[in-house]
Amino acid sequence: MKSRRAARSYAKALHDLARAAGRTETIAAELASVVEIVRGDAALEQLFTRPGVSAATKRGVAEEIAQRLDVSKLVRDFLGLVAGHSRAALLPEIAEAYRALVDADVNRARVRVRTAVPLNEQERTLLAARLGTALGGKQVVIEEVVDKALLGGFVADIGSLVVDGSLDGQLARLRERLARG
Amino acid sequence: MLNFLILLAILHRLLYKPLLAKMQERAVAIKASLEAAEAARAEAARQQEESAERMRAAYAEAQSIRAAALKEAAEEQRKLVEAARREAQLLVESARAQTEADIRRAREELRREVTDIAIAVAEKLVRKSLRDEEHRRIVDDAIARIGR
Repeated sequence: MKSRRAARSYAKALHDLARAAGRTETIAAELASVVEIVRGDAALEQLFTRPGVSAATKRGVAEEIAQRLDVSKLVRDFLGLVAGHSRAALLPEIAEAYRALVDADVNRARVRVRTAVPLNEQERTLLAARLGTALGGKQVVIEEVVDKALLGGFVADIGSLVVDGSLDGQLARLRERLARG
Repeated sequence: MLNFLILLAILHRLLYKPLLAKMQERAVAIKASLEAAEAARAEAARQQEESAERMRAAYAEAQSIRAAALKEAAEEQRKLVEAARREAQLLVESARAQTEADIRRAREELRREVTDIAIAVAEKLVRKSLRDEEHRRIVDDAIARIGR
């Protein structure tokens, strides 16, 4: 909980600077690529989370990553700052909080969609449009995950709201109806 | 004649007077006896009447006690019968409710089991038989239902 609050504080600070520079989306993409690199490398992730490693080392590694990814100065400085404060382990949470702030700026919602088979482009566009209308005109970004455990259709999670368009859901409702008699 | 008169006087004096006195005494005694007998008879009659009266009272009391006892017994019997009837009714109702609950439970259990089997079979069939076009149709239908 404490780390989440800290992550939100860092994200808010970065968001303010990015908005002032008019580059919120670019910064979000750069931050996401950094998180992807860190997450994809167990050694890097360990280095950032291990308490024994000095802040200067973490800062150096962060700046090296920033340089290799050729991210903007703002992101490079931000990574250096976070690593220098020994908060690099919070990067995924910071990136998530930052993305939520940018999404709120542009009235955008991210919807996690579990599907039995991958959606085609047309379905994805139509689903985003329909969900956007249902959410009061929000722009919807679909984060699709193929879930082989699903029989068919999809389940969309929008925060506390769930749109169940799966066969599993239909069967569950059918089971409930039959059990009730 | 004189002698006879003297004799008569002597006899009168020696025999008649004592005899008369004796007879009078006897008559008095007899009268007293008769009066005593009458009194005893009256007393006996009174006692008999009293005794009869007591018998009547005792009989009446016995009758009253018997009637009260009979009435009480009848009331007790009525109460016992009523209590037994109520108890029997409760037992019947309880047994009926228990039976109905058992039937309902068994029916629900059966329905659940049949439902589980039906859904499991449906799942297996669906998983085996779904082709891509059906997947597409399910997705399209679900998208079309959003917001309705």
